[in-house]
Parts: sequence; structure tokens; C-alpha cells
Amino acid sequence: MLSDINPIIDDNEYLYRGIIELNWDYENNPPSSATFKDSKGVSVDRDNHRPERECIDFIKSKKDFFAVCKVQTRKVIELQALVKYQPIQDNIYHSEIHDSQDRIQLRGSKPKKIRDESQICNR
Amino acid sequence: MNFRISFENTTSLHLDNFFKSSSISGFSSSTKSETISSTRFNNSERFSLEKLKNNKRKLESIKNLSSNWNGYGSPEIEEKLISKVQQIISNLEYQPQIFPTGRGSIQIEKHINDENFVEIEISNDEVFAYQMKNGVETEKAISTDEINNLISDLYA
Repeated sequence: MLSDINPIIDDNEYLYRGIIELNWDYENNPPSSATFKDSKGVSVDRDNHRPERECIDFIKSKKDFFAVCKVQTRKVIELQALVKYQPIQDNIYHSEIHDSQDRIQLRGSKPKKIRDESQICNR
Repeated sequence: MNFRISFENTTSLHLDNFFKSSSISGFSSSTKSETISSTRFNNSERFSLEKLKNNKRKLESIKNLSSNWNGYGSPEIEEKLISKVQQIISNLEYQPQIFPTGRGSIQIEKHINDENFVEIEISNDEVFAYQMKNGVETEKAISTDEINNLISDLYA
């Protein structure tokens, strides 16, 4: 599917990620940073200047997530992680957070720091 | 009356119940002297059978996850790894929280406050810890034998 989405993600764009209940941290700040540990980079949906409600509805149309969080691209970059626009067949907003240019998987402090910067926008 | 109890080679859960139900006002350990006012000994979380049971139940839930359980193509968590984590938590002084990750590993974590916490990611190949102790960050690969100390040190 061709799209006219700018391949460069704006620093102000929010990145949305669905959370399942098993990764909801009922004792501390939810979700657990385990939410941001993925082998192929952390899949997120960029907002591409869509209204928040539309972003949430879109992400929940794929799976009935327990909650949805968002983090601003700028915050991720400030943590020395990379945000890459990687559209896939059924998701033109699909993007990935990578640890660095050389490493895909987030490791060490980065998942928690990204979690700390994220906000729950739907539950 | 002078009580002297070794913490080595004891069943810790029984020992914890013993201290809770007894009227002993002080004791010493043969391996490390601590008074009854120590945070460690006054902490109700220590050797909590209830928390251990909850964690074992959570591991059972993790065992039932099918592939793509997180909606992002995550693999199933291998039973071998779940058994490994079951064994690890059974020997911990303080029960952590347990979470599956999207890369087939299991994360155990303990959070006291923003300056004192530990996150430990356990996979079949490696155990990797991210620790904040009194505001000082450490990231390193560790052995399973170090996990208990890493968590218990948060209460020291």
C-alpha cells in the first residue's frame, strides 16, 4: 500500500504501544518495562498527526489491549534510542524503537527509562 | 535467654514463621549479626509464602501464553525457562514481580523507590541485571547465584 506519510518521524509525534494485562505493574508505575523488550525492536504506531482517539482505536482494532501507552519521539531520542518508520502491510503507522544504530533490542536501563517517559492514554 | 541461629542450611519459610509467632526480642546469626530492628527482619515481605504462591501462579499463566500473546508477534515462553525461573524464585528472600517479555525471556523486578530497584531479565542464555542502588546505576550480566543478593541488598 502506498502512502504519503513522511518517512521522517517528527520529534513531537507520539508513539503508541498496546499493553497486555500480564505486563501491567499493579504495585508500581505501570506498565512494566518488560513491555518495551522485544526481539525485533519495539513495535509502536506513530501518530502521524492523527487525533489521539484515532490512534487508540486503530491500535485496539488489532487486539483488545488491556491498556495503551504513548511516548513522545523526542523523549526516546533523548535516551539515545532510535525510532525508525517501518510500515508493514496492514499498518502504515508501524514504527520501531531500536537500542542504537548497531543494536536492535533495547537493553539495560533504556526499556525502563522509556517506560518512565510514557503515559497511559487508554485503559 | 540467648538464641543463636544459623541461617545457612535452614528452611527459610519455617524460620520466618517461627520469628513471627515467637516472642523472642533479639537474636544473632552465626553468619551475620543483625538486630531485630533491622529493616530486613521487620519486613513482612521477607519469605512471604503468599507472594511466592502468587508468583508461581503467574508463571503458570505465562506457561499458557501462545505465540503472539502480546499482539506484536512475541514467541511463546519456553517451559524450560519457566522451570528455571520457578527454581530461582523458590530460593529468594524477597519475592519480586514477574513479567514476560516479547523476546521470550522473563523479567523479575523489585522496586523499593526510584533510587533503589532492580530489574533482572532471565533468558536461557543469559541473566542480565539493571540495578539502581542509592541512585547509582549498574548494568551487567550476572549468574543466577547472584540474584538473591541483588534483590535482598535493596533492603539492607
